[in-house]
Amino acid sequence: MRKHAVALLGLIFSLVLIAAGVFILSRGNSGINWKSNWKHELSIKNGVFENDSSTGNFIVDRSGTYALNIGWNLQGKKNADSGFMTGCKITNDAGEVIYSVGAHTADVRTTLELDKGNYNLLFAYFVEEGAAVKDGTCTMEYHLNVTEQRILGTVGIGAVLAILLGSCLFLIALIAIFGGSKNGEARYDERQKIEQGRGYRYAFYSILITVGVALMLDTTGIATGGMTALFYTASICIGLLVYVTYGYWHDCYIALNEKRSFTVTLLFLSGVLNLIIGISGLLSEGILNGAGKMNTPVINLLVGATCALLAVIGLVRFAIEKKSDGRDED
Amino acid sequence: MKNLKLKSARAALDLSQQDLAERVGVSRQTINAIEKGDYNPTIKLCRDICKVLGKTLDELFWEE
Repeated sequence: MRKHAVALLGLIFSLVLIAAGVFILSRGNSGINWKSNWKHELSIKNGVFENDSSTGNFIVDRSGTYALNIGWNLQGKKNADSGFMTGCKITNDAGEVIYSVGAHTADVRTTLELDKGNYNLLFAYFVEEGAAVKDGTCTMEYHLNVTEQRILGTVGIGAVLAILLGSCLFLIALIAIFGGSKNGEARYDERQKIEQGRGYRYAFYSILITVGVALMLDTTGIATGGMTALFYTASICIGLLVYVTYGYWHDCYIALNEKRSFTVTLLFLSGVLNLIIGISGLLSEGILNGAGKMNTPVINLLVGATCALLAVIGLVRFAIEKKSDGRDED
Repeated sequence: MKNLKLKSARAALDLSQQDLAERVGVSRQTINAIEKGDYNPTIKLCRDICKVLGKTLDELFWEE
């Protein structure tokens, strides 16, 4: 009863943490978003544009980083088949050109550092050399999206951590209230507890050594490009491998009232899931990103391989156990 | 040092290591480790084993 009361308090606290984090993030990241769409009729006579420009504008209320998406489309025809190019120029209040582009491209995306003020867009049209532009009128459709890019500051990072911590606490509280084995808490006999202690000790020493190696590689600069995260994750995986393998081999990992198959299945599923995420991530993003840093799917691969290996070790051990079941060991 | 007394007492009742383990409430490997002399059980476990096998502590665990 007391345990459930504590778990319930934990559940409420975790929800409060998550709500606070979400609230802070939503307030902090309510960036400016400017959208507009318009049309302009182009008139061509004797191969010359009679009204050869169109304008648009947007207002920035505060200085910052903004993502711009500018697009133009010729109604009823592909831009590339039009015979003319469209140029776009963005100027500030002082008339300074802060961005310009010219192409058939229907969709331009860029990120700009903008100060507070008004900005004007000017679209101009240039007949391509040798192109045959028919006299007549055509309609050009424009769209403009300006979105403020807010970078997470200290408060934002704190909010994200609050959400993560709240989510973890929420899961733990749920398990405490609704989870647990039907057979009660996991039971281990006295020999198993002693062997677990030995297993923890060996795993602790392995982690100490591997973290030491990782630190050395990090400080000497040998580990670069995001590999430090990989090495520290590898340290944890090695510690896990040592403890679980020792536990399987000395029969102290599975509790007396637990099913062997449950643990192996759980490890196998975790391994497969992480391997799928890792492989699909690497296929789409590659090992290194544009900045030369290692992509996170590599860590998924490492964790997946560890879990899969542990599942295999468990299966092997259980196969050996099954062979000797019914026959006493001498 | 191997505990042959325990092994013979268990065999006398036609119990496997697994059977004895289940009755005592420990794992089969624990019974095996005790019989092989790889593990020294606590007095509580010794008493539990004695109860199941119907023997005294001296009969099963005293070193001759």
